[in-house]
Parts: sequence; C-alpha cells; structure tokens
Amino acid sequence: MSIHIENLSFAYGDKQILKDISLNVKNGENIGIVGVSGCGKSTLLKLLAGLYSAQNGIIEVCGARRPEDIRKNVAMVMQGIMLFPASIKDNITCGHPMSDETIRQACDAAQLSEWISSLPDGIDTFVGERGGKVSGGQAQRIAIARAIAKNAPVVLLDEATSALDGDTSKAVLSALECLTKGKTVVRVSHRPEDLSGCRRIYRLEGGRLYND
Amino acid sequence: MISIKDIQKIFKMAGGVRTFVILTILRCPFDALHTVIHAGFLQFAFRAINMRNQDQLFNVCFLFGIGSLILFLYNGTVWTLYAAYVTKWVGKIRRKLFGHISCLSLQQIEARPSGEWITRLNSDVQAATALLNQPLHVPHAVVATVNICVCSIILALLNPDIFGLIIVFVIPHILISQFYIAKPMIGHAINVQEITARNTTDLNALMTCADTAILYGAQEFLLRRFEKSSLDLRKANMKIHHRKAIGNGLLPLMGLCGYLVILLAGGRWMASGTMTFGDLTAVFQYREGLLKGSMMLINSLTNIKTALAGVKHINETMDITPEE
Repeated sequence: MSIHIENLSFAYGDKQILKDISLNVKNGENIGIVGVSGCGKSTLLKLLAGLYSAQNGIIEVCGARRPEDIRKNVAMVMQGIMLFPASIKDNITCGHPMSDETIRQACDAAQLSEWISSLPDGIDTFVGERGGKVSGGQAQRIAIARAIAKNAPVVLLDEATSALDGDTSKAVLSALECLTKGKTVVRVSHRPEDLSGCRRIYRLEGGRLYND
Repeated sequence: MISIKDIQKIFKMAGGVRTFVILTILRCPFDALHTVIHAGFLQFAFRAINMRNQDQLFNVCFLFGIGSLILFLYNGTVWTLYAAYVTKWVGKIRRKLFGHISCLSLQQIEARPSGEWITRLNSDVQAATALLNQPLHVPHAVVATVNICVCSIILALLNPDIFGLIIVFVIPHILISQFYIAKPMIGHAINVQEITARNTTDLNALMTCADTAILYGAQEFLLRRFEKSSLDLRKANMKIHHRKAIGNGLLPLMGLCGYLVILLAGGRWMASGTMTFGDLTAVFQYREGLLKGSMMLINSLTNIKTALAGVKHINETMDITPEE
C-alpha cells in the first residue's frame, strides 16, 4: 500500500477541518478528491505531504509515518506557485547536488527545454519569487520539473490544472503526464472535470471523505 | 546622480518645509553662542584672576552660569519641537509610499522582489529620515557652518596670525574628507540598500516558500543564500565604516599638529608681552569651536550623502506611474 490513512482528524484551533478520515491508495494508483473551496482538501494534502502532523489517527506513506520520513517519498505541485528568488536551476535542484543529465531530463519532461534555450542565461536565468519574471505556466512547469527531479514515488497535485489558460494548458498537462507516469497520484480540485483521468474519485464534505 | 532636486522632491512629498526651515534657523545659533560664552568666560575669568579682582570674577562666573542655563533651556525646547516634526515627517513619507505602492498594478509589484518593496518602505525611509533626525545631519551641518563662521570672524579679529595657522590645518582636512571620504560614500550607500533588498528577499523566501522549502528539503539552500547576502551586506557596511574611520583618524592628527604650533607661537607672543594668558585661552576655545564645527560639518556632509541613497530609492518608487 502506497498511502494508508486511518481515522485521521485535524483542526485549526477550535475549527475542525477533517473528521475521522480513512483512505487506502495502492502503488501506482491515481485517485482524485473533489470539494468546494475551504473544505479541507489542501489541508489533507499537506498532511499527506508530511508538512503537517496528524493530531489524531494514522498517516502512512510508503511505509513511513514520521512527517520528515513521509516528505522524502512525496513530491507536490500546488496552485499559485511561489518560486525561490534564485535561478531556474536552483529552483529545480533546491540546492541539492544533481547531475546535469537529471536536470536536463526534468526540463525536457516538464516542457521547459525550448523556453530555457531561448533565454540569454539559459538555466541560470534568475526568476522572481512570485514568478514575476516568468509566466504562470512557466512557473508551474518549473515546479513540475522540480517534482520530476525529486523522483518521489508519491505525487500530490493541488488544483494543479485549475488555473490553466488555453495557451499554456497543453504544455502543463504534458508535463504533468510525465510527472505522474508510474507514480501513486492524489489530485485535489474543486472542479470534478479536472479529475477525469482518476481511477477513483472521493468527495470531501463537512470534513468527511465520501467515495463517489 | 542625486541632486538638491531629489531632496526638494522628498520635502515636497512630506510637506512642512516652512516648519523645518524655522526649526533649523532656531537651532542655528546654539553652537556658536556656546563657544562665544565659553571663550568669553575663560578670557574674562583669567583676566580677573590676573588682576586679583574677586568681584569681577564673581560677576563673570554668575553671568556664565545664567547664560549657559538659558542657552541649554532654549536648545532643549527647540530639539523637542524638532523631534515631533521628524516623527510626523517619517509617518507622512511611509504613508505616501505605501499608498503609492498599493496603487501599482500586480505586474508592476511583481516586477520587483518583495524584499525590495519592504526595504523601500523600511530601511530607505529610515535612511532618508537620517537626513533630519540622526546626529550630524542637515540641522547639524547648518549649525556647524554658523559656528565656523562666528569662530572664524572672532579669531580673525582677535589674532589674524593664529587664525591663519588654524586655517592651514583645517582646510586640508576638509578637502581630504570631502574627496576621499564623502564622495565615494554615496556609491557604497546605494550598494548597501541594494544588498539589503536582496537580503530581505532571501529572508522572505523562507516564509513565502516555506511549504516548498520543507517538502523539498531546501531550507539549507535558502539559509546559504541568506548567509551569503548577509555577508555581502556586512562587507558593504564595512566599506562605509572603513571610510568613516579614516576620516575620524585624520582630525586628531591635524588637530594635534595645529595645537602644538599655536602653543609654541602663543608662548612666544606671551613672552614678548603681546598676548595675555586669558587671550591665549580664548584663542584655544575659538579654535576648538572652529575644529568642532569643521568636524561636524564634514561628518554631516558624509552622512547626508549616505542618507541620499534612501532619498533616491523613495523618489524612484514615487516616480513609477501606476498603470491605468
């Protein structure tokens, strides 16, 4: 089992967000969670990513239960990408030692290579923290390249395709396809149509998870 | 290049120019009067001692005490009013800057890192405010100039030869300070502001990209970037302090040389009966006023140039035209 959640509950202070959630996702399975804004989808993903610790219940990702161990097995692409105020290369490697070949492959898969080769400084081009120097689609593909380079067995996508426009959506969708190929994937979105490729779709409502 | 227009622009933005001018004029006579009262006291007190006139000595001491008290009360009142003015000035500048930035489009805001905006709102305003409220800035430059003029006139009238000797040591010091210290200072100050913006952006990234940094183990990478920009900032600040230290070392050297020369010349004049001990003491007092004034003026000019880097950034921000 790639992801195992058992009786998970989570609250921000007095406000209960997630109640008694249980979920199992097999290796290589692609599932979706749909729900309205503010229902707790992103909180659930952050718990799955090891960014938050479970207050009650069990979260196990690839056999790891401690948040710091869970994080090693997870890559995540979020909506509203914030890039590091650093070069494209540093945004992909996050400062970790990585071979040029790995970086090149990640850029190819994320449909970045053509754009990068047109830049005067290439992969060393500085990008602003809010992607001020790159478009939203380019920033998202940098984030996807980062996730590809990490090569984690579990991929979490938080509204990753919700804000795409016509011009960039094709490149981003191709990049996401490369990222998720052969991986365990959990997608969340407020639009059911974004989850069309998922094998199972769950609905998050009132803090509880329902199998649709 | 930063000109007087930049300062005018920032004063126009903050308003209250009339109040600033009035308060500066009110502050003007303090140092000069202080020097005159002190020198006069020493001159007349030693004269009374020489003449063994106890009544005259008592009167001199009494007048000195009253004069000093009035002068310090006056100075304290003016500075209190001045501090209130500066507080209002800073508030106005920050409010106007914030208001202007909030009118810019998202594209214009995103064109610069968040650290740069934060720096412009905080350290640039602080730097620009330094023109008014920190020791040895605009008001001090004005006070120092008045003090130098008064002391020079009195010294020239009292003893033109000694005045000439003092000038020989003061002029080179002012020239070296201006061309070697103050002139490169503005470049260093602008460099500091730019690195401060980078440093703030690096610090900000730790907050704004916290989720990505934790998930991808990039905290050490961000820390390294922050350390590097912090180190660059320290080096840039060191360049400013280094220049200031050279300037500070020059004055005692020049002062000591001038002091010894005047002491030797004064000793000869006293021996020949053309000068009394009281006159020599007063000369030293005026010389001190002249040197203190020169030092204050030099430091003021140096610090004003540093503060102008902040003025430049504020004006640059206000010059960005909001998109329709």
